Amino acid sequence: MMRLTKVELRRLYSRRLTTIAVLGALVITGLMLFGAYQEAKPLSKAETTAQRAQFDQAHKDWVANGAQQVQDCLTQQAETRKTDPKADFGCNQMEPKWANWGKPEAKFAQMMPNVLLAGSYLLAFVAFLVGAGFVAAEFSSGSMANWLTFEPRRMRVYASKLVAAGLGLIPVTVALLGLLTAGSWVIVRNYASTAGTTAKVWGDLALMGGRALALAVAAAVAGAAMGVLLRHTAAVLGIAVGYLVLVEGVFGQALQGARPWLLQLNFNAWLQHGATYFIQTCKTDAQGNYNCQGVEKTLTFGHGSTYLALLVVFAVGLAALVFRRRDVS
Amino acid sequence: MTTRAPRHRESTPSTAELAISTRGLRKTYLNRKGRHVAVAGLDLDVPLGGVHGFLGPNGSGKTTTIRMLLGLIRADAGTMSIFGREVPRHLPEVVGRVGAIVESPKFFPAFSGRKNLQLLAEAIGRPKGIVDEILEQTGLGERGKDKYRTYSLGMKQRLAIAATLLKEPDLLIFDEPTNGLDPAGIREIRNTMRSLGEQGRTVLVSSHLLDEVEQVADTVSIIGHGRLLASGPVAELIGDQTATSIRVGVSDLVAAQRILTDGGLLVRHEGGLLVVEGVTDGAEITKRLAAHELFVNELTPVRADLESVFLELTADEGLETAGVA
Repeated sequence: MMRLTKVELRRLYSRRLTTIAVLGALVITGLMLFGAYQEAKPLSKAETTAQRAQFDQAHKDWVANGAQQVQDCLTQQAETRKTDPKADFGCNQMEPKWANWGKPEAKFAQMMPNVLLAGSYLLAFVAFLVGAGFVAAEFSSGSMANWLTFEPRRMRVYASKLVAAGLGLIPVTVALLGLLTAGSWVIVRNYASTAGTTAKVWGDLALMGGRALALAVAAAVAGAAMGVLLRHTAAVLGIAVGYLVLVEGVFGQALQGARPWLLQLNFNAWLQHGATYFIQTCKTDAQGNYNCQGVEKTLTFGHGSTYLALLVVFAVGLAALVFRRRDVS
Repeated sequence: MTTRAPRHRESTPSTAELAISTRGLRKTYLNRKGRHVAVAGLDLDVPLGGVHGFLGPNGSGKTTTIRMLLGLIRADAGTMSIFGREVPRHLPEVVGRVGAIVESPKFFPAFSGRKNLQLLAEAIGRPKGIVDEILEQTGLGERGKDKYRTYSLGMKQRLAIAATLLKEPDLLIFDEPTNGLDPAGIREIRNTMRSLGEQGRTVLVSSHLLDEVEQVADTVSIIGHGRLLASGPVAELIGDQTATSIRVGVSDLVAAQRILTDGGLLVRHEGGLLVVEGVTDGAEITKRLAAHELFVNELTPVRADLESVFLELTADEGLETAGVA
């Protein structure tokens, strides 16, 4: 089993699709770092001058017409409060202040979880693709039959492929997550603020990184299992993209009750240790008006982790059953 | 021993004396047209050592049988053994002694020939050095570093043979090994099979080409519609078919034909000779011609070849012979 896994790992790293996928992930990581730079960098002198000019103009306008604007605001607020007593138009905050102009300073502690979340999605997709292609190519090229004439114990063969897919993605995931984190740190430290990056923040980021790593490994294993089931990389990709577009994109939005079972939301719940989502609740009030309100719901970490684990176990189990019994041509 | 199954089966050797043995092997496929019986109760014995031909027209169940032996597909019924060990249950115990090429060679197209072999060698715990040795041995030393997808069909076939040799197998199974090869490639592969057989290994070569089996095989099993039609040494199988015609050379062909025809024999011209059908005893012909002072200068019994054996067997079974060369 160990020997087979080592051979499979060697094959995984020798594959062109693996190289292309890792290079692609590296390029996208670079683009994400560029995005972090765009978010972190302060405004240029020209942009600051333009902003200042706009502020001066707004302030001048405020000095000339501010009192009237506040009065108008209060009048409209009072009118609205006849039907909605809690209405607050913020009339006392209308004065332009320079602090509210320009670009707020980026903070590493606030920015990094979002960067890590985006990176985790990317790596999970790459891992799924690499895992699927790794196994499906053997079926589509016919070399699986050849392989089985050397090692006919199918469950060993199957396990070695899944283990290799999972293990093989670990160094890649760790390297890219490390690059993303280190790159973001360097960018934010040079162009924005790393203040408030406490040990707790680092701890939370490390845990999130760990969960991203586990997600990538699970995605690679699930991809490999899908490769066994569908036997063509294109078929696996087609199913995956079709699912994302139709189920996650169309039906998931239309059927609110299905949202807790959508992959993306469960990914978020897993990666962010819980996730929130909104559903619309509509009702007719006493006056006969039909009102809709967005209600915030929470998807727990436990839900996300259990659901995702069950999905992976189901895919791996089903593929094992099929591979054990299926004729190989 | 020649076996004309199922009518003339003689004593069956024990499985220990056989490289391969199957009994009542059956496989049915479901397709759009319904159930298709690919192998219908096949009893096959492949003796140890030498080259054994596995002959039958396309679609007769040869490849399905080989796949079942190698554990690639499941049999619906029947038993199989390799070197006396029941398979597929004990296949892992004997697979190290079996090298096989099923239909066309199949490797990873983006990897070099060497890389493909290295992965297989590692999987079975063979030293890396053996790969270059076997590549040289199979004439692929120069091209070992090239991607498999750039190989000609002949080179792919050589690489497949190289892969089987990684195990130093006692049994080699070649399924239609010369399909698509040019004449030089065909000769090369046939020589390789013969040479492997002469080394004391057992080579099972499945083919729909009668002349191929006749050239390379010591023994043969003929199947049609998934059943064994006959089996035994190639020479005996052909020998069983007693000569039913005699080729006659004589100075006056016209006179000789008239004399023999008048005597109730069926005679036809073939080249510069006469072929007398339905006669097994040459003396009868010489006696009749000599009585008219015609003396033969050639008298050759026309021996049945595998094709005629096959045609006779398949005619008995009502099988199609299309595709049989």
